[in-house]
Amino acid sequence: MRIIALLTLLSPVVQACPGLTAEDAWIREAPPGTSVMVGYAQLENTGKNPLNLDTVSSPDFGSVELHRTVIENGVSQMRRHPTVSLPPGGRAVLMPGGLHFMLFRPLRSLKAGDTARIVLYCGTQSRTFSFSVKAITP
Amino acid sequence: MRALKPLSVALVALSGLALGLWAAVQWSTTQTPILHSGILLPTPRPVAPFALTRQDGVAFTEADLRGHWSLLFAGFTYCPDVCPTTLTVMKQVEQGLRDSRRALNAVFVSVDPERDTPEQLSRYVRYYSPTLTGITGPFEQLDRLCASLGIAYIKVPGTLPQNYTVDHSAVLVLVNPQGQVAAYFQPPHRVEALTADLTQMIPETL
Repeated sequence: MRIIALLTLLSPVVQACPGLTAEDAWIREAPPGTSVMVGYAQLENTGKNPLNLDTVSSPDFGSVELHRTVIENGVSQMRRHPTVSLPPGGRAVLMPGGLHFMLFRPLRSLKAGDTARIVLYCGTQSRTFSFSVKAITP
Repeated sequence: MRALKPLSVALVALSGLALGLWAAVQWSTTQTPILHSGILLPTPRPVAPFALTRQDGVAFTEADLRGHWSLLFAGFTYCPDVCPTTLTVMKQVEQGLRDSRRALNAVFVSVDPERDTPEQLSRYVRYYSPTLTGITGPFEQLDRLCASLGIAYIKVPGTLPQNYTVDHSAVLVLVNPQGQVAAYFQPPHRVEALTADLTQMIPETL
């Protein structure tokens, strides 16, 4: 029994979505009463295998979707974006006016300075990232 | 043919130069502004009558667009990406113009009256700027204003009925003190470029 426990301790930690990082992960503070917020981050695959991020969730929001804003013929459109594919070394920049996380129905009040968790899924695995709420000008 | 005396030639050349300079000055003073981030309408277009409501419940009609310069943007409060970015830019532009003693009335037109109640609109515009005016109303009246402004919008279903989105023109529309559409500004909206363009058009009044 002891040996097993020791082996468990010594074995390398198996990380879900290996190599997935999220830099500058932030959520734009929203006016009071708003039931949809937006999150941005710079995602990178520092691992050796391709990652396909097709599902997003959060314990702090009713639901999360990946969206992309496109301005076509002067008309701003927001559409669901199915998957972010990150080959090894690949990056995806989620930023205002482009790819973003749509955060529906915040489950608690989120003000600048707070943090919220967003869970990114790569297949059956997932990894949780902390996003800072900021009142930021573009 | 008799050769012209050098003095006469010099006089003709000088008067030609003077005429050229005078014409250049005249031309430059009557010249319409050259916009770097927008399109100036050669003939401003009047905004047709409409009846909408401000965030505080007060009526807002075409008459409220007269007597001052207005910059209008159409969006909706459930738009978390493009609308906050644009409203923040509008706020900064308005502040920059005020610093150079120019007045600009920033107006947010909600094209989502089903979700944007006056209370919701009030909380939203107050968050971005105390001087921002939010207006909305029945679709029939919104359509009148949007037709005048050349703004398109359409409701697009989302994953849940309450998650629908609204595609909308991302332009900023400048209305002159005569209540006429004077210029359009195309995205991406930049504070510096917009402020420089509007400074050319709006005189100092404050």
